[in-house]
Amino acid sequence: MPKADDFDEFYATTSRRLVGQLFAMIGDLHEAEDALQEAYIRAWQRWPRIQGYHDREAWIRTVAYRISVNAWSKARNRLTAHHRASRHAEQPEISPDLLTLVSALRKIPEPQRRVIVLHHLAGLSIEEIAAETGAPAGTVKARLARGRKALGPLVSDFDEPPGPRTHLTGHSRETTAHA
Amino acid sequence: MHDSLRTQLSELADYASGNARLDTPAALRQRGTRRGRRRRGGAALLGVGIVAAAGASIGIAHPGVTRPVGIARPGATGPDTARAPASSSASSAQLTAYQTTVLAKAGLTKAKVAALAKSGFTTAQISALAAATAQLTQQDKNALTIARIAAGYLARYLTPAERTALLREGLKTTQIAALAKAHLSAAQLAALSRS
Repeated sequence: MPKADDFDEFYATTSRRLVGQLFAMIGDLHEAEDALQEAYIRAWQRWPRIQGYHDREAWIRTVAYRISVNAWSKARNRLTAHHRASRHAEQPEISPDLLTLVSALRKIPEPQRRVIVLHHLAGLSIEEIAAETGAPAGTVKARLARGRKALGPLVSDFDEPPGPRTHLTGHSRETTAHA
Repeated sequence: MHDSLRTQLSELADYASGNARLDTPAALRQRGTRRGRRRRGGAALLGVGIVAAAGASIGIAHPGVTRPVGIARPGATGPDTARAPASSSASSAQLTAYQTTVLAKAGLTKAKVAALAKSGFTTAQISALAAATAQLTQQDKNALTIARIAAGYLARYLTPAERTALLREGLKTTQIAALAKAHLSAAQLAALSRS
């Protein structure tokens, strides 16, 4: 019987951080939540083995990312998110700055986005990213450079004063000015 | 640019972690355990079913051949051919009093059994057939998976002559069960087929 306390502690210390990273990679909060929770469930099923891993957080992040990019899973998550959205009228608000960043991230290719997030948000080195993604270090560097370059013009207005709040709903995002 | 990007990504992550609706670890553990239990239960049920329904027909396999030897086609007389388990009268080709009674009670004539024996049925095949038909009659339409597997498995290893004999004789489930109960030995079946 795996130790529940260890798992709970691991979950408590990593889940919030990982959901942020996954959200930046995926661009959809509900999908990020679902993929992450699924990854933790799978981790629990293999907990005696995973417990001994050097970097359990990387395992969860990789599994969750793979789940989210899986086409079938995406379709299912979309449906789940749709049902959930219909149950909860209130959606978390997101500022226009962050919305701009999310949109910009979604415009760059997925591998570049993943590398950007792992490097700039998770704080991983090139070698660590190479190990986690399975890509050579040179490829990681190239993706990082191209990703930054692509994001440059898209996020140029970052430092503008905060504007009206925006609603983020599932896959369709609309900017809604508050009166 | 890099610092700005890092800051903005951190804000994005903070937003996500602050607004994410995540289940408690206990709930996730429960889901994981339930799912594992379901999988294990399903696999065990399927395994038990296959063994119960078709296991009787699985003999000792020929080296390198996937076809069960106990269900060898007529004429297969290799030295390692698995024989049906011998009954108390295995050495004799004569039916015992018990066997005769069981067959007679089920309305099985000697001619009928001889016809099956002539088509090449083995004791193992009869046992498997009995197990499959018993399950088919006991279970409802939605729970026939295991019986169907067994029936499909059996049908695959029946020769056309055996299938024809089964249809021609039009055996009832009770008669097939009686045949299995009588547990005729290979020698007895061979003797019947010569009669």
